[in-house]
Amino acid sequence: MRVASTVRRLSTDMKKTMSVQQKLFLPMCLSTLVLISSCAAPKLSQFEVQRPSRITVPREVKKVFIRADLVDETNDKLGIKSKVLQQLAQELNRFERFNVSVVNTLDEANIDSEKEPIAIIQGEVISGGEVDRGQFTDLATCTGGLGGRLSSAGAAAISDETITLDSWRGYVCRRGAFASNVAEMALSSAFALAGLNEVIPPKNQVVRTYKYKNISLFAQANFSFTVIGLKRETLAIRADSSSFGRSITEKDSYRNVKESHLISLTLGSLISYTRIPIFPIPIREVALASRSNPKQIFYGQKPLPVPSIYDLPPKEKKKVIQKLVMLTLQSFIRTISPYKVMVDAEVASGGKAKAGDLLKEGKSKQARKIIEAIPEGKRDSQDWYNLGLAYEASAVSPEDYEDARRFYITALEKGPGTKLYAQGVGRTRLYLAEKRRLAKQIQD
Amino acid sequence: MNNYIFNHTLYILLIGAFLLTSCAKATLTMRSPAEINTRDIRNIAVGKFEIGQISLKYKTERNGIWQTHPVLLNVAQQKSISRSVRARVINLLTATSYFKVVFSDEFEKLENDTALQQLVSVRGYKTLNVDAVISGKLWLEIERTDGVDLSKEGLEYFRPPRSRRSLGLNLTVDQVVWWPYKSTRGTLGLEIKMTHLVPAEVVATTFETRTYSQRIGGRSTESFQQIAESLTSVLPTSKTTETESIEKSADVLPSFEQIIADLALSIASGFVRRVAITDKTFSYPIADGKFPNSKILIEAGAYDLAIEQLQQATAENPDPNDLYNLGLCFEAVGDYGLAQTSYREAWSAEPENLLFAQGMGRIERLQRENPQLLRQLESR
Repeated sequence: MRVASTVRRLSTDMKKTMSVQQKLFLPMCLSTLVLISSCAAPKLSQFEVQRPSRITVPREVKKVFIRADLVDETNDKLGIKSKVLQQLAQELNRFERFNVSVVNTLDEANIDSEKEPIAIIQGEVISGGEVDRGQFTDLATCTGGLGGRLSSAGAAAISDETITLDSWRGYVCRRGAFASNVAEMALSSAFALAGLNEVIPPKNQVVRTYKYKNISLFAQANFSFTVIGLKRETLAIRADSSSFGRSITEKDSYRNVKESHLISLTLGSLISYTRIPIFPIPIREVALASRSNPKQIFYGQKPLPVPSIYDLPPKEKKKVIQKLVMLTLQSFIRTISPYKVMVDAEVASGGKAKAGDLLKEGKSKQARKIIEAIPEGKRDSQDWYNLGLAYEASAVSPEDYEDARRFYITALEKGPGTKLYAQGVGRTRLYLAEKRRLAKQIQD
Repeated sequence: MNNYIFNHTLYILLIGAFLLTSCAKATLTMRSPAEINTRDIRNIAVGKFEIGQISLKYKTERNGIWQTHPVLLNVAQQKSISRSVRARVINLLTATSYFKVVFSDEFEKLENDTALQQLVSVRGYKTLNVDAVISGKLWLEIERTDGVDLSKEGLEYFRPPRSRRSLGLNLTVDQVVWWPYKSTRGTLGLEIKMTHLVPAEVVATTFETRTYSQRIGGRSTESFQQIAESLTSVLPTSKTTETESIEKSADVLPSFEQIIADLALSIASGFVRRVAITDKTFSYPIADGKFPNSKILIEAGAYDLAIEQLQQATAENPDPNDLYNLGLCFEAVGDYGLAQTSYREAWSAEPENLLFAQGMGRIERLQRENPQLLRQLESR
């Protein structure tokens, strides 16, 4: 009787504390939201700006040949060499600094390099990938009762986790220990408050096994850039790589291999004498969960297989490799050629010129004309900022960045305390500092 | 339940505190001096990276029986690894403006270090515009393991009371459970020599090792990490020591190629830090000054303009927070003398302020620990 009244009192206490918690929870959440919104970055627009290359290639060098015959493919296990070379040529041509073509051979004797110096790109493409299969074990807690089942399933759906049902009463089993899971506790308590479940639901811990498949892909490009003019000189060598890794749990493979409830059944006579709800009765080593012992060995004599169409759908694989190639080439391209990059910057709305939309559409030259048509004295801070943005977006020389910086400073003078304008000043400062350093290097 | 409310409150307060503290910070790039004196060396060439030993293997363990399967690499594959490591060193050497890397294949063609030493020791040897040559030798060992942990687990069964009269049941049953795991461990040892050509002498020799280890599955990831960390220096994860990734999962072991790339990048960055002036990035808090634009300008990295405006503002009204921010700006642009003056002025006005004292401490440490930085910079 005493124990039953304790349980009732506990239940009433829980309801009380829940209402206190609800009262506290809302203001706390609101204050956190305020903090987040005050700290979070504003929604940014992206626009394309041009950046200088890391090295300065002599102006006369226009033609670049990617020598496919001089690009080693010994370790190109994914067979992506031609894709890498084509992509490299395409990207370099997009930036219009060079006229690039991929060639299988080049007779250097036929080139008048004194008249028209050329450059060649050669090197090596390394790629690989593997499918690593295996089996893992986890511990799960199966929850019964109506509220327990709903809350378990709800919490699992939130975290996109696999759930299984126990073989006894179809309790919902999910990874982790019952008491330590905050999300499940919160949901259980909410159901309890709604009158769906008066007490803590029953639980039954299980050992589960499941199969997984890990897919990884890797790409690396080692390239050199050599100018053949009056003399032959290699200006850059780079090695860059990128990777992809995804772990796929085979959800259908989940098996409950040992359930504590089933063990408790075999100990029925012992349990009937010791029904104590609060303190656990430890039962020493009853059995081995032998079904959790993996029979299969996953590493053998042969290297792991390369992902096939069964592991990664062809369309997705193509997309992933495309991204890998792009990421791998990025640094090499930026080393030798001026490049365009998407910059996160907010366009100022308003102003007399209303040039924000034009900037968002990438029409920076048009925006520049419209703003410059307004007399300087009549321009708003937004106009000055957008003018700076227009100069930055179409910059081809350090002077353009100097002008952009000047316009951002004017915007800041007209609209003191505007973070957006300060960001413009900071961005151009960084670029100009880099440029000065580069100029010094070249001078040296 | 009380614990539960307490936990929630704590989480929310922690998030709030984190957001508050992470709001206004200045990101500063500082220069670190080279550890080895390389002041006389401007133009460098990179020679061959010889292979000491390369060993890749798969290991399996079931019921205490271990099996090892080596992955055999042909000469071309081994050479490719050597070239990759060499190219990573070049990547980082070219990223610093301290050296000019001359890409001459004259040295790369030499078979090994002995050939290089013989070449440069020939009396009067001179090559075009090269002051020193960097050459190396590497040892690499990577293994992947498929094994099983065994542990005793207490499985709980809890049944609440069914009625007011009935009691519940709470049992813990000990079970022996198998926990399969996969792990990888890679170690790269790299000896790098910097040989001055005239006079022919070895300026610097370094031998560095990096180990990467990762484990997925198994019973306890924590215990494995502790073992790995106590045995070796686990590869630090930072932007310069990791390959770019388009999708990443902590549950996927990196391939052999990726480990080689990551280790080479890490070791190369260590070497470059030793022989060249390098840039490091730090974040420091910005004070709430009276001058309205200073905080946003510093946050945005517009240090020059912030200096200009803060100098005017502090001349008229020397607010200690503004003075600290001015010091921060001077520190950011590398003017440590003026940074120290500003920090000291701020601290004199508020001697209790930890932020101001930290600013002074930083500059003092820089001046004390890195006297060679100035000399190295002057040599350029």
